[in-house]
Amino acid sequence: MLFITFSLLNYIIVYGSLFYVFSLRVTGTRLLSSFLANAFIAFLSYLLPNSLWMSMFSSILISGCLFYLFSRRTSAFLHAIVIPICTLLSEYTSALVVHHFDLPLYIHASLIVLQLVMLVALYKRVIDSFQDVIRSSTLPKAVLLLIVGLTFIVFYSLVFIPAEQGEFNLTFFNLSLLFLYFLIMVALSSILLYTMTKEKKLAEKKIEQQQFSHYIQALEQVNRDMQAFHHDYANILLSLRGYMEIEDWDGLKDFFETQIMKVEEQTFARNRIFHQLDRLGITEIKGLLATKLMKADELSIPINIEIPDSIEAISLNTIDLTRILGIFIDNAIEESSLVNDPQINLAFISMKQQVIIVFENKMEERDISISALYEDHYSTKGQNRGLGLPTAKKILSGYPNVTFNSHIENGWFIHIVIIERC
Amino acid sequence: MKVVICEDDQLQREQLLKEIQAYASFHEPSIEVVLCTGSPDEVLAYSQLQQADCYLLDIELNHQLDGMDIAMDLRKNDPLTSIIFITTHADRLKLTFSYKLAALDFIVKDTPKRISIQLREALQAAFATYKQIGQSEQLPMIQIEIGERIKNIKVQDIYYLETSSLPHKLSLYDRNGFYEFYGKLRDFEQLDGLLFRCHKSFLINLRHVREVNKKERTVLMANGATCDVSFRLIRELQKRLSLQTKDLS
Repeated sequence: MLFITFSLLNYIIVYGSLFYVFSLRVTGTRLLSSFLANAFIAFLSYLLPNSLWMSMFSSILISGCLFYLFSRRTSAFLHAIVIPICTLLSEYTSALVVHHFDLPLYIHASLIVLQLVMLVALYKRVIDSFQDVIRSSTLPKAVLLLIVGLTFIVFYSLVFIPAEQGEFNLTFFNLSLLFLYFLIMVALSSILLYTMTKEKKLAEKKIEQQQFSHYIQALEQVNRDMQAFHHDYANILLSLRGYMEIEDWDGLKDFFETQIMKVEEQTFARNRIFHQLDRLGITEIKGLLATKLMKADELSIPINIEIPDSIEAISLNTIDLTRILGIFIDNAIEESSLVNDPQINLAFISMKQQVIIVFENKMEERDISISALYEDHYSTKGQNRGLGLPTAKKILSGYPNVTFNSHIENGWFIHIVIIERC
Repeated sequence: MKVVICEDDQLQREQLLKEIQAYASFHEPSIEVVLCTGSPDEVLAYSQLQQADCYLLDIELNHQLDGMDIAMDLRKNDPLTSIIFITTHADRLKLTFSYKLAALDFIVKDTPKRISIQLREALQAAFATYKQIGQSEQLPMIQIEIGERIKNIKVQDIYYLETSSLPHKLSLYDRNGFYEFYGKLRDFEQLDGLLFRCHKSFLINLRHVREVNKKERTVLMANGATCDVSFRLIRELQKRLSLQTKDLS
């Protein structure tokens, strides 16, 4: 009976904190499977009461795997080790305090719970504040896992083994030693995470600067165009005068239609694009768009961009945003080379509650289904290309505040990303 | 269909009026211009008292309000009215018009001949919308809001709906693409007798099932995608499918 109560308690502590740390929704299946896993571990420790370490390690392994299945995040294993450490640490420290001062049982219990809640809450805060670094690359994850894993083994062999054998003095000495070690380890890990964050920020800054210089280059190009236009302008006036002097009205009409209107449209199209980009307050995207727009211009694909109101922020990670925009533009440019009358339209529309990014390009009439375009490794141009769209969809599906539509309508291939402001 | 024109250039205004009247007398006699003005205030005053079915608005007006402002104001009172913008080359904001203001169409100022062609097309579209609003009996639809624009998708054209890994987010797949929006699968089950909830995360349209794989417990849809079928429902799915083919033959 006592055994069952203990294993239930263990279940509530370990899995409750895991659900909390992951901010996972508790569903029936999850609850049931975690319960069964716990029952299995309890059974194991019942069968082998002498080798407690067996059930401890299998508990870590099983809960790690289970939460990896639930969340598909490798940090499941990290959390699966940290939480038992927290549990055991709070159990043993409070046991020692109780043993030392001869305190009653209910104080013992509340001490354990208090310590555990504090430790787990602290851990969640640390994890949440560094989640950008932890999620983005595998190196900090691996190092953290190593540190935590070693800590667990050291704790186990130095504290828990003597405690089980009843040598409380040794345990006390080791525990105080290890408490120090624990503090040092926490400090070291946070230094590691801090430097990683800083490095990441530096890399981001570098990208931003690069994009900005692209933007400046594009602007210079527009400036040169305008100068050339000014130069032509004088010539155009002279030709107009020539037509008027000889009173060749038909010739004048023809010249006006074919030369002046056309040149005006082309020159001002670019100028207008930059005028629209002015309203975008996000430098990285500005640079990216400027570069890509110039590229489309070189390939003589007409491209139009609309930014009717100024936009200072978009509730989406900037790197993700540049990635998806790059994917969409590259795809649109690629597709445009296949059609006779290419056109790309792009809009950033700011609404009260949301920002809408619309992307459309003319598309060749062909029998393809959209879901095929979004399958990995699918491309109309052979293998190993066109990885873009599935990647874009995957990135966007990770955001709860983003919805993404993609469809074909009257020969246009249209992508719409709606980002709710947060 | 009542039409309102707001254009501050007198010459262009008269040209628009003439064009619309000509189109009305030849094609749709029910089209009638009820107001033709250069002042935004008059348009707003009119819309307070009466309803027009179609507004032609110049974007650049010599006034503190421009065409977009008028459109925003009109939309507040009447979400269904058709709005057609008249614009110069310099500010061709096609996507903004349609997603921010749910405008029906826009006309680019050009030679009179080209304006006339564009105007005809826009009027035709406006008239089609006007007729559609009049019809009370409609096929079941799912409406998806994209900014101010509302996209209607006929239930019979839907392939399937799927839940996403994030709560409250649904994806809808049809022949032309996919759409994500916020909602619950449960709310769509009753829309049509041929929608079938074959799995916790899938609501499929039986019209577009290509084949059922009983061993893998999946169903292949017309767009090549596979949906899961839960163990309990595979029998019922097959029953419903055979019932449906019987109905057709």
